[in-house]
Amino acid sequence: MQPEQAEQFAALWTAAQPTIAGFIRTLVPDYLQADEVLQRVAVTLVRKYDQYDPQRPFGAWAIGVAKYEVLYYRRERATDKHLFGDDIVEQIAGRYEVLAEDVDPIREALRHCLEQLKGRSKRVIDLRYRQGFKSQAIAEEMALSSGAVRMLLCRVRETLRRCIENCVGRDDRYTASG
Amino acid sequence: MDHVQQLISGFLDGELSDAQAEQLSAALEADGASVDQLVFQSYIHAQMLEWLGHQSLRRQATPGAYKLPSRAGRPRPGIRQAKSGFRPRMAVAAAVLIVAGVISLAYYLATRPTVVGQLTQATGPRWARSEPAISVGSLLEDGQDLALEQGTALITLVSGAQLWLEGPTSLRLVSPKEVHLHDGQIAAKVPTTARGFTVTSPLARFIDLGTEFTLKLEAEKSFELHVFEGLVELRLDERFGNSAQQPVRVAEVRALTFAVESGEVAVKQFEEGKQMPF
Repeated sequence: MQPEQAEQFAALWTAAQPTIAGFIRTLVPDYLQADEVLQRVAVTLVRKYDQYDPQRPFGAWAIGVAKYEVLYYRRERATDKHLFGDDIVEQIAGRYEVLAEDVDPIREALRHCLEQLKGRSKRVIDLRYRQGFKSQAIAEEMALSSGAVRMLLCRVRETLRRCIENCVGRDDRYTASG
Repeated sequence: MDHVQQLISGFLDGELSDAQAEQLSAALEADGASVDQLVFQSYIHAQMLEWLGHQSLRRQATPGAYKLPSRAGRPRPGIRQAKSGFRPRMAVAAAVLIVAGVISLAYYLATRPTVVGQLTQATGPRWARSEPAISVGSLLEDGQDLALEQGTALITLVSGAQLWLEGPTSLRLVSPKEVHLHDGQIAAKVPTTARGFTVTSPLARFIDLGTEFTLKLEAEKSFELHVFEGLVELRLDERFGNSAQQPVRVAEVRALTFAVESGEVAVKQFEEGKQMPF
């Protein structure tokens, strides 16, 4: 890879990485294993970068590559119990490829919607994501039961989804469901 | 609350029982809308981990924690396997080096801090202990703290925004479009491409709407804002109650001041001499 290509790749990878990480973590829930797959994807993308067509969105191309890495990883660990079957993996990959084509409006909306969170909603998101706490630890911090924390997290995620829906338009394929 | 939403939320947190996991799997197979929900929620989950969990994750990220498993056994179509003993040692060593190089590059790309800007000018600067030491030309990374004890410095961010620092000033570079000012005086010149550039501080958040402004902050006490061009939106921290409810938009050739003691934003006489020499 030429230095100029390496710079282009680094810029594209940096922008697409959260989307690819989201896809992989959906299918490989263990955090360390998901990071391992993410690195494999990065290696494969570096190797295959000369095959990338710049007319296509990089994220969608990268998700296509990531899908095969995830499937290969699952086959390597055939004895592990997998939550989703291969057909669901295909469906999720297909949706992610479409999502990856234009994530900027969703990302911007999410940033705005996070700023709108107040009180307990803001607190629970801070504890979950900034501090990396699980429900039990959040429950202790907020003097709630862990069941109430799980319900609160679910509600806040739904609030964020609706807020993003309002920001980017109701006809969006991912935000209109539910 | 939709049961599938609850299952997806629990799934994202890794807190589903086996029975709940099976219910989620069945729901996904039965209904494409559930797959859409899962995809959308998992994307925003990953994005929030990226934004909010960035610092703590970086602290945990050590090279030793990431080891790629052996790829032995993986079919390599198109590559004929050489017979053992016939492969020259140099070729094996070169192959190992190439693979190690690619893996290192991938690891580096996956975990490296992002460069957000560069120190482009400095006059008589004295920096507080900084690791690594910075000088004109140094690349600056996200999450990097800068403490200029004296002198001035100009930082050019990847977004195109430029920041003048006048010591003593301390701040953190959050991203190409965001800095957190702890204390001190800065000036920002923001091109339209970097519209939305934000300065956060303990007292308020300043969102640039295409402009040039100076900001003098005395941590936990007061700030003074001069807008030379364009528009700045100011949002006080939530703790200031009613004053924080409505953002204040400050137009060019206007100045505002705020003191924690009064809890109110007040108009101040505009001082042209506060403009920095961009």
